[in-house]
Amino acid sequence: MNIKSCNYFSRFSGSFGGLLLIALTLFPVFIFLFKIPLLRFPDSSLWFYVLCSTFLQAGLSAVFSVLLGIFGALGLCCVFPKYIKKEAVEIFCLLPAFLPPLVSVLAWVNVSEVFFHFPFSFHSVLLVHVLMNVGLVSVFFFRLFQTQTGCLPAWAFLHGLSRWKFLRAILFFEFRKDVILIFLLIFSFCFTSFSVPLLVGGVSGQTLEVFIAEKLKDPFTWPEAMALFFVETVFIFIFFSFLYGRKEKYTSQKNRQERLYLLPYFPLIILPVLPSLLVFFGLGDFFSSGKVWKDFLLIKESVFTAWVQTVLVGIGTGFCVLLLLLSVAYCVRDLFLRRFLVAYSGSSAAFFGFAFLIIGSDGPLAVLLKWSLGLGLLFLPALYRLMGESVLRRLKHQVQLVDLMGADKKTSFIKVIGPQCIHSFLFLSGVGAFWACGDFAYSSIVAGGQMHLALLIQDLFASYRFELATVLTWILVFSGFFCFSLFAGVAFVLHKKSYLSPR
Amino acid sequence: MKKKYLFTVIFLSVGLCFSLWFFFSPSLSSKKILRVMTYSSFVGVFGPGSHIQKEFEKICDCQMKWIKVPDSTLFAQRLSLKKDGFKTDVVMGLDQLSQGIMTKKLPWEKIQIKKNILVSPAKGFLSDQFVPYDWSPMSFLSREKKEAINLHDLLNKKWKNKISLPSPRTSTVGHQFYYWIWFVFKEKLDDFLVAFKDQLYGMSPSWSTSYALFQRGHVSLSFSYLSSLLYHQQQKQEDFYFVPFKEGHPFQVEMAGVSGFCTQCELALSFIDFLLTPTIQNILKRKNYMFPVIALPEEPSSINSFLKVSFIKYDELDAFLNYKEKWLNKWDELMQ
Repeated sequence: MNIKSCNYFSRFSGSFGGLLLIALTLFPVFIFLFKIPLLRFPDSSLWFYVLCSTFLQAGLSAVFSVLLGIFGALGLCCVFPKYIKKEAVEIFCLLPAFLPPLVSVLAWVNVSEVFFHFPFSFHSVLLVHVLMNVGLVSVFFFRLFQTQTGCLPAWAFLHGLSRWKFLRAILFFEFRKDVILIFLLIFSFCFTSFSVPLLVGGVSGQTLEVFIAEKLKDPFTWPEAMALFFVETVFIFIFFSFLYGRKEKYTSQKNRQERLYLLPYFPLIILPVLPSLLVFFGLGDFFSSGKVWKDFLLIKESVFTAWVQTVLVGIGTGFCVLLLLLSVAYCVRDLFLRRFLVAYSGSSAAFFGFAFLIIGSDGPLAVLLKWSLGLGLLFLPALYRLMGESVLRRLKHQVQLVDLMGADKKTSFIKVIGPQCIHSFLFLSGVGAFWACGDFAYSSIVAGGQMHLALLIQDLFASYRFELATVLTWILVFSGFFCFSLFAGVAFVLHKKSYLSPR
Repeated sequence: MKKKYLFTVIFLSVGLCFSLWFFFSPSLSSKKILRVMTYSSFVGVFGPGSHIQKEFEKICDCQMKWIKVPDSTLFAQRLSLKKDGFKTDVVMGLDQLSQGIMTKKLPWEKIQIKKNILVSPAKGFLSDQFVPYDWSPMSFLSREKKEAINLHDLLNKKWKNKISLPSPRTSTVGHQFYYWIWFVFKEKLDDFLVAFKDQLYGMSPSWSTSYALFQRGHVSLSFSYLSSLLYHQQQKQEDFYFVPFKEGHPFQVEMAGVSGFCTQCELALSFIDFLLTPTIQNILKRKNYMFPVIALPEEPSSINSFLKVSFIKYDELDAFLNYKEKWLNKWDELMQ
């Protein structure tokens, strides 16, 4: 086989594998398309009202997150590496975006209950989305300011520009495309958010995603759910395609650490740090109540069963994520698949839940497999965007070289791609396992009668037993961390060994 | 490098298999499995589900498996999602308002129970498909003792934003409230709802959320069960009162039926019989905080006097339920 035919074969098989993977990530859609005769929009104008309200909610959440995030980044510019590690501050700010929504929301509700009753409404969804994202946006702009502002601050400082004038006339103008980029990212996240409206939306905070889930509950309204799902997907594809087109810019830029002069403004550091601080205060709240331990003892058996199931689902999900990511790496030449995974925001949790609910057996093992695979597929696009794409992109030249040298697909995967990806992918699987421990939205649909810590917490949360829910949240966080450590530990060992082994 | 892969795969596979074995080995036994569908709070950590399961498994030489559904308004949809109805044997948690739809939409096995063992008003709802297993009158609960009032009194300014109610679309309790005002106001329903909207603190998706708002002191009145007072008695909380209404009260009778999808039909029928034994009726009273449907030795309680309040009639149910979607849309429209 000559080099040309080998490449051709590789591309072809890559595409075939890629198509299979795409089909797998879209499989709920196929299930429902197969089961319904025709798409149909709901009769009442309620769906249009919900669509508009979702747009408003996502738009406002994104606007507030970006605005506060930009100012928060100015606060982060005050963090001097001499006193505290920048990375530590960044991780602290990113916590609310990284932790399962159930954990952060419970903590914030705990804190708010000290001062006022937390309203379960449209406004709460907005507030929670802003709190979750402001740290993420701040860190994004902080890094951007550090690496991309060049000598602008110094120049402005020398010319005697005031801070506000510099921000308004130069910095915002310079970074307007990045502002749009991060706005679209947050908008898409809030637009498709399912857990947050389910937790704090009450009756008035219904979003399109929750509305679709309502429609999926009744087979009679499946055509309506499908029609709405397509509306949602079209919007999301447009947003993410836009994001993908812009991504290259940052990886090709050379990092330049400059003195930031006019940028730092210490009081603003409260913006990205506050949501994380509130998480810690909120989760520490239960120590004050003695009754909670009495209640905890009453339910300890259920908690233990739920804990085992949670860890099991966590490990299962991590395992599925690992297999899926390795499959993507095997199809590394398939740019369509990679573009799809970046552009695809992940199917609706409700769609996945009901699709898995109506297929296959309901035995305990089958439920566990459906549970893990479903969560793995749900998390795949997000995890891939988080790190997977950048890992594969780094291998671009090596893959080209291997193809030129005539290695077949299997050899190039085992000898070149796999060994370089496995550490990062194991780490991502650990993240997936952590998220799986905290998922309740998808889990509540597929679980049937099975226990899960997140489901117990959600039940307690819904009946305002916040103290007990907080105790279980700690167990959930530790369980998540345990699952994460399993995968991250293996990643660490492999990483160390790869340095020690003879080359 | 292959060794590393092998190590990873073996590590994760062994972990997974061990966990699977550990967790699922009890269910690999050859015992019959009875699948019971019910609403989630019934099998929640504080619910009666696990106690009933324990008692039944002692005598049946079988295993019980719960199929949890968020609310009993969703039973019909969940059962019709799959052709085999998830092999559900028993459905628990239907009430007078959901029973009719269930009979029309889904197949049910016939049940024979002697009517005379049940007490009023539960025995009025015994049919050859559904068996009542607990019940309770419903009304608003308050933290102040009140004389009997009218429904119109709920529009009093002092209760503006002070009433909590679960949504009739997602909760059977909310649905009962809607039937109540529909039954009382008929043509004047719209006027009442428009005025009542301002009295609501918020509409909750479930009864537990709505009642928790009341318990936490965020609202003054909450639509709930008289039997909720059993819980407060147990907790030694004295300042919770049932508000009597001159128009009469709705009441909820919870029922169970053997699904036509059953695979263990005999076992399911014996489970239904078992629900009417004093042991289970006591568990339902202590853990589900609902009144028994059979005569139990009475414990002296201040709550018992309220069991004699007047009740509304459920003989116009068809007129209400045949246009259920229309009424619910009207509710959404007026409450938005």
